[in-house]
Order: sequence, then C-alpha cells, then structure tokens
Amino acid sequence: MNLFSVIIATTDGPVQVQRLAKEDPDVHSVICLNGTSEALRPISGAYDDFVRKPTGVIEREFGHPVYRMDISGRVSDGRSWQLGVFAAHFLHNRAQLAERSEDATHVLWLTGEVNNSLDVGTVEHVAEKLERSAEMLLKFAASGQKVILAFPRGNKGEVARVLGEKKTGLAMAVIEQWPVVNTKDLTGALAPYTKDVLPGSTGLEIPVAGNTRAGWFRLAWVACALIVAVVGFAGWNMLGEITRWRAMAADGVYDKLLQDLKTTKTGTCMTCRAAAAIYPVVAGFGKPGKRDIELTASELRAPYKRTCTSVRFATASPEERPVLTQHDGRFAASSAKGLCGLVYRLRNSGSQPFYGWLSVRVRSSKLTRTSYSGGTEHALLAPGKAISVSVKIPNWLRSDVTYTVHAIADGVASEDVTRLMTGSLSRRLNAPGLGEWALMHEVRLTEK
Amino acid sequence: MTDSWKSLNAEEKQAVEEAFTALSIFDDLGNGAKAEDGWGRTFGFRDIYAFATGLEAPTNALREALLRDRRLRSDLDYLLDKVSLYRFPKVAAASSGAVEGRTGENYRIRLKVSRAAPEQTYVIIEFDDPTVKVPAALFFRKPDGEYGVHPLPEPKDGAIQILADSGSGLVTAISNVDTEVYLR
Repeated sequence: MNLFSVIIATTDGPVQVQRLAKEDPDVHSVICLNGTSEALRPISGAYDDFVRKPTGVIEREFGHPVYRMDISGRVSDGRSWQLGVFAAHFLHNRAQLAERSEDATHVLWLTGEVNNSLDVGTVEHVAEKLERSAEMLLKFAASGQKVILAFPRGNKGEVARVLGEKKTGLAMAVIEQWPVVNTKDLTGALAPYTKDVLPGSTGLEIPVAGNTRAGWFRLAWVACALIVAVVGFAGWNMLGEITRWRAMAADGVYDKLLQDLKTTKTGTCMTCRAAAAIYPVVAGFGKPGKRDIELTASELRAPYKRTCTSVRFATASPEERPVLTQHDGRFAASSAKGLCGLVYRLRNSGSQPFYGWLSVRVRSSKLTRTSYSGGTEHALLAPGKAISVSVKIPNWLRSDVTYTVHAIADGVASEDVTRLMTGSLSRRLNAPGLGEWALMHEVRLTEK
Repeated sequence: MTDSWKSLNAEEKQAVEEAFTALSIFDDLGNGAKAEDGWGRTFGFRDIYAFATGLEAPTNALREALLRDRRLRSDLDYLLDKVSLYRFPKVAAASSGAVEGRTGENYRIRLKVSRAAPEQTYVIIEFDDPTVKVPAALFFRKPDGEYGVHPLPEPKDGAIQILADSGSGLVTAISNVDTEVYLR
C-alpha cells in the first residue's frame, strides 16, 4: 500500500504532518506541536474554522467535525497551509497518511489556499518555500521515496523557475508536479495511488468536466447575468435606483443608503433587487480606494539610558521607529518594554484630495483613559498629507493590549462616517464603495 | 479598596489610572536610588499587584514568600478577588476530592480528556452570556498556598479552550475540590 508523508510548505521551512486523529465533537479542533499539549496559535482557531461546518470543508467532505493534528514545526498565520491539511485529511480518511516519514513510500509537498467551493487559490512566496524545502526533499528522494509537488496552478511559473535552477538539484528529485485549481484535481491525481480508484466510490470524486461546484456556481452567475440583462433592457428603473444610491453616497448619507439597500434586497421588485446586487460593483467608481490610503504605525521609545518619564516631562525626545505591516492584516506586535507611546498615521498616497478618518480603539484591555485607549481624527487630506492619532503606553501596564486601527477615505465629509468612527453609531457601516482599511496592533508585555 | 474595578464608572476608572500613572512615575524617579539586587528583599503590595494583574507565574522568591507569609497570601487573595471578573469558590460536597469542572455565574469550566491523546486534557471555559467580559488569565490557589496563573487565548464560539498535560499544575489544580479558581 502507498503511504504518503504530507509536507506543508512554509517560508520558515517544511512542516510535516505527524498525526491526525478524531477528537470529541464538543471541543474545538487543534493543531499541536510535535505531539505536545502546545496548541499552536492562531493557526488552531483557523484550522477549527477550516474543519467545522458551515465555514469548514473538512467536516463536509469527511464527516467528522473535530480533529487534532500534530505537526513538526510552527505554521504562522495565513491560509497557504490549507491544501496540505486537506490532503492530510483525504489520505487519513483512506488510511494512507504516513505518521513517520520513514514509513512513507511517497512524499507529498503542498501549498495553497482552499476556499469553501474547494477551489485552490494562488499563494505567495512559493519559490522561497520550495527553496527552503529543497534539502529535506532531496533527502527523501535519496532514500528512495517518491517526491510529488502540489501547488496552485497560478504558482506554476514560480515552481518551474526553482526546479530549473541547477543549484537546488530538485528537478531530479521530483517525480511529479500537480498544478491544481480545485481539490478535486488533487484527489484525482492521488486516485491512482490510493486504494479507491473508481470515481465517486468513496469520499471525493475525480473531477469531471462541468460537474464541479465551481462550475455550477459560475453557471448560476451567467444565468443571473442573462436575467439581469433581459430585465435591465426594459427597466430604466434599475439605472434610476443606482443613480439614487450614488447620489446618497455622494452626500455621505451611508446609514440611510444601507437601510435603503437592505430594504430593496428583500423587496418584491426584481429589477430593484438586481440593481442592489450590481450597486456594490459600481459604487467605488471615482472614489478613493485602498490604494489611496497609506496606514502606518510608529513606536515612540525612550532614547538610550532615558525613561518614558523623561519623555513625558519633555526632558528627552522619543525615538520614533516604524512598525512593519504584516500580510495577515496586522501590524507586527510591539514589545511594551521601554515603549512610551504609539503614533498611527493615515496618509493620502493618491493623486486626488479626499476626506480621511482615522480611528484607534483599544481592544481586550482595561485601559479607559482617552490618551491610552485611542481616539479619532478626520480631515480633508490633500495628496501627500496625513492625519495621526497617538496613544500613550502606561508603564504600569500589566497585560497585553490590542489596538484596532481603522481608516476610511471618501470623497465627501460624511457625518455617518464620523459617527461610526467616534463610536456613536452602534453598528458597522460597511457601505459599498467606501475605501476602508483596518489593521490590528498588539502591544505585548513579553516577547513571544 | 471597598469597590471592585467593575463597579467603577468611566470617570472613576480614569482617576485610578491617573493615580497608577503618578505612582509609577514616582517609582520610576526613585528607581535610581534603589539597589538592583533582589537578595534579602521583602515582598509587598507592589509584588503581589504585579502578579495579580500580570500573566507571569510568580518568581520562586515570591512563591516562597507567599508560602511563608500568611498575611501576604491574604492580601493576594483579597487583590485577586478585586481584580478578577469571577471567582469560583472551593467545590463543596464532592467526596472524591476531584471534579471535572466548575459552574459559576455566567462562567463554566470543563475538563475534558482528549480522545486523541488521553494523557492530555482540554480545559474549556464557557460563557453563558455572549456579552460577558472575556477573561485574559486564569489564576488558581491550591490548598497548600501555591498560586499559579495561565494566560488565556482568545475565545472562539463563546468558549476558551486550552490543551494541557493531564498531570500539569493547571489541570490538577482545577480538578482539586479545594482549589480556588479566579478568572481575570
């Protein structure tokens, strides 16, 4: 029987799936490190979401809602682990997942995001991940194990480039490459190696043209588009609705606009409902978008041999250090040690002026004083101009603090947006066409 | 300290923060005059406050001081009571001496042995009310006067889940009927 060792590619190096086991349904799924009780965070929470219905695909495909997975190394946040985890579940379901690499006849190296329709999305840093895995894969190949690479079809070029580099020697080690667009491509490619080779015999089907969930989804959209086209031909009504909503957006009355959209979406007028579906697509035309917003954070630290108290009493100037922005929608965490304060800035990096709002709010902390807990600024910003919100970090801080930094750009000075950002509007606006950006920033007491 | 933090209004909380800021500035200014070496030092309110409001396990020196000094323990109990969101008292009428969880007002703690790894146990903290304040740490005080703290991860679907070795201090403390547990 073919046994597969599943390798999840990360930029920190390859991580092997060591064990997969069903857990009691009344706990959450976890990913643990090397069989210990260390549940890896934040990946365990994301894994639980990936497993459990309705967000998850694993329960839907394999029938059990909770698992424990042990892996050989840390996997940072992101979603490129999903294809590897899916493959591990598929092989585990067929009792063909090797828990020890020396038992494996095949080594399956994977990277890729998997969405709810089981489509596999392109991921970043594939070349780097493959280069970091080269040494391990060469060792497997040298010991007679067959190395297979599976990756999103969109990353095919990167993989080809690394395999083409003579210095890695990987081209000789890899027996097959599987560029995939859906997990069915992966399970189809695995079929000859697994016990059940007949399509649809158990678990997943081998892909059949036109019979995929994504195919049906696309077909439904085409049908919808045709219906909209036919109905829209007769109905200036639809155009009228969109024009009315755009006028509301131009006046910045988003609260009313959202209520109107909500009512329309549940109404009986079909052309109006179609207009409401189309509106989010056209809402952003001519308005500032994410690319026009530059959101940055800086740490204010006491200079060498000075304290934050001397900064507070202006006997020393703080040193300003930029905070990196990570790919996972967060600023890199800051250590509270020696940290006097933080400055968040929203800059107009576009070519047209816009109104900008910047709000900083504290989460998961007991800090209440305004200078500690954040604030809101808004102004008309010419290109290159910025607004900022500063927070002080008290030196009696005894727990980690997380800030939510929320920026909005719009063509008009909207009272509704100001109410949202100052907290007097209880619910989120989430209005179509509104340029929004939100980042989290954690201040940690100890380095982790 | 007759009022708990929870009962303070926004203005009172800000006033407390101002007071802490002033005190810590005072400490900061005076730090230069203090000896850095901790040998022979005595432990006071500042040390137990740092423990009760932090996420770090007590140092060996503080642990020994707590085991030695009944009054310091009493102060720490009082402080934990004040800064905590909820205190689970000792479990009454359990003859075996071990429990599989604790139920309190708004909060519930369950111990669940892992099916996949029976040598490990899930500690699950559940909230009855989704709007209830989320705790950041679990403190326990064993009957022998030993204290411990465990930082809590973010909740998911109304529950916080920790995986720990079944023989760990956390699991043995929670399962002991005589242990007091605090959520802060």
